[in-house]
Amino acid sequence: MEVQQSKSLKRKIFIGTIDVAVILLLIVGGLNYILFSSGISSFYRQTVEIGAVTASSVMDADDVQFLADEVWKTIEQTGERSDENHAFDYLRETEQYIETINLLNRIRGAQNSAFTTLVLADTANMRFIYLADADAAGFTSNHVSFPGDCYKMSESEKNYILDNEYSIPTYTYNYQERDKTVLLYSAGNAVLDTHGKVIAFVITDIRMEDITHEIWPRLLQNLIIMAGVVFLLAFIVTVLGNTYLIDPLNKLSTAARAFINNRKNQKHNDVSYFKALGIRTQDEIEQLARSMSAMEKDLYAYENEIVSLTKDKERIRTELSLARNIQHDTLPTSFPPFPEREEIDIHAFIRPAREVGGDFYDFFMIDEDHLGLVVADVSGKGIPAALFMMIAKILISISLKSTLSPAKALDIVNKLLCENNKEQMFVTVWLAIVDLNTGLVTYANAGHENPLLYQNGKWSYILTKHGLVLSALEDVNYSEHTLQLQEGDWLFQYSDGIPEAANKDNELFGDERLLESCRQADMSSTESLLKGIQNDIDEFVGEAEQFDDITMLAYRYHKKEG
Amino acid sequence: MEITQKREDNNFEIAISGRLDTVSSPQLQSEMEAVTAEAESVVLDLKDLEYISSAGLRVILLVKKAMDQKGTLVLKNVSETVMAILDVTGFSTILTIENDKEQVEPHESTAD
Repeated sequence: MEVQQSKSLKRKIFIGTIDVAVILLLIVGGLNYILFSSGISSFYRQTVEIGAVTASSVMDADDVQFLADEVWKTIEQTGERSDENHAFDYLRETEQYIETINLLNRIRGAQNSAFTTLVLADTANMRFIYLADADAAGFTSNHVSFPGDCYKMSESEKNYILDNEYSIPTYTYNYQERDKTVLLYSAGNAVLDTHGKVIAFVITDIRMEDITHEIWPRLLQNLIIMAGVVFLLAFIVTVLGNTYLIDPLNKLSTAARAFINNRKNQKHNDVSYFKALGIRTQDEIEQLARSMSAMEKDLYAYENEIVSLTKDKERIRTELSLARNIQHDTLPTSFPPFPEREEIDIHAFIRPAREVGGDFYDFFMIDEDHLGLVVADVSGKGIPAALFMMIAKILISISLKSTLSPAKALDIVNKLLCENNKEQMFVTVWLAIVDLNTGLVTYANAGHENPLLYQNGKWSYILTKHGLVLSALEDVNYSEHTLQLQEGDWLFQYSDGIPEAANKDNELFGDERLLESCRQADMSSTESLLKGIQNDIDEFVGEAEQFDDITMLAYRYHKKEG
Repeated sequence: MEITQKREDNNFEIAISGRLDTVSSPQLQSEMEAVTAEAESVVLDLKDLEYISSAGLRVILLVKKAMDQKGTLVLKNVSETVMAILDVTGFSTILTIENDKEQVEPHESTAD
């Protein structure tokens, strides 16, 4: 397809050149013709005028005067000559007429004119009257005029003669000579007497035919030569166009195709198709080749960058996915967690806003009779929060197990976290120990949300004074609180991702909705409670993006059996 | 978020309005770093503060730590919403909070 296009470019150049050449040819030919013919025309004009002047000056004034007087006199008496009117016949026998005719014949022969005649200008009657007409050898004799013949004078001739008595202006006319029409140039000049008075006019007519016959072949010959030159030029332009334009363009086009094919097949990204062409034309084509070469280089660089970015992204995605699994695996996720201890009724749920998060929950048996519960939230989100969360989670469970006191555990963990916390991250923690025999709950709150309690058939928040978030200040002592659970009482703890869950109008889910959600939820199991709350949150948030990690933990107290 | 700073000698009063969250906290942090470098006392006027996130609390904690070594930090005109957050996170236990009329001791939630 591209090959056809380049052929068409060749053709366009050729045709374009020919077009310009033909127009040029027509203009030059036309100008040539105009200049030539106007030159010829003025040449004839001068020739015919000189002919008339020469003829008139060599005429014998006395003879002319005689003939003029006789014709004037006869024409007044008998009118103009006709074949019936023989009144003028006598003149043709006179010595003056014969002399004059001989002279006119000699002049006509010398000037090679068509007609050379001697006429009177009868301006009063708007006519010319013949005195003598050279024998028109070569013409048919019926065009020979005799003394007393008349022909019509035009208005312009009359005016001209009256204004300037000595000449009759040059004009041209077509004359039917045998079987062809010839163009005649006609001019007249006065014959004067010794006093300078006009007696008559010599009229000289010359043919143009011979020279016009020469104009056309010459013009045609010129045109043919010029056409040859023009076509030669067009050929040269086309050849040069091919060499300097089409061929390099074809090379570029081929290189571009090879480049595209290579990119489609993802083969190599280091082959320099454009640079390899080595186009050194030192013009716009080379400029184009250089640009293409630079583009090729940039594309490769860009592609490499994209590939490496994609690889990086893929690697990070894989790592994040692994990290997510690892983080998730650190949380107890199989329910019921202690199948052999049916009285321990617990369920938990976590959904990070990103792959990994800073929220966590935890629960573990401290000993046969004590259950530890933890819900925590590290400030911030994503990887930094997740790293901090892992440390916090381990420290909290170890400390709680070793101290058996939520407050003491928080004191210890707080100090440990403060030791190396340049980033000033912190973590909110609610942790509790449930005495499975008595239902007594000992708990401490380091800046975490207030938990909900279900007791005596109703849900309410447990509001106590909160200690400062962990890892904020080293010298903080945490205090403990207790509450007494009865058989079938519930505890529900969560992270701030729930009250601060926002819908697309930026409304927050809030404490009130959470309380209402607990009241409405299906309390047949700890799992169903969490499902109900989760559904309420999802319904409220709708299409809005989850902004923060969401964590919740529900515990229903059953007295330890046996 | 908008931050307005008033200064008398080395006593600074900073008014913070709008939302102090993950997006706006870095700006406050850099301004407060400059302030605490010179300040003897800092008053944070939180009259028009609508919301404070953990990132905002972190900046307040940084300011408190810086000022503990060389002067005082006081929060004033704390709205109910912000106060609730300070209470829940325990920040109200470590910060000096005063309103225009009365000085309020660290707030204490009451148990049911």
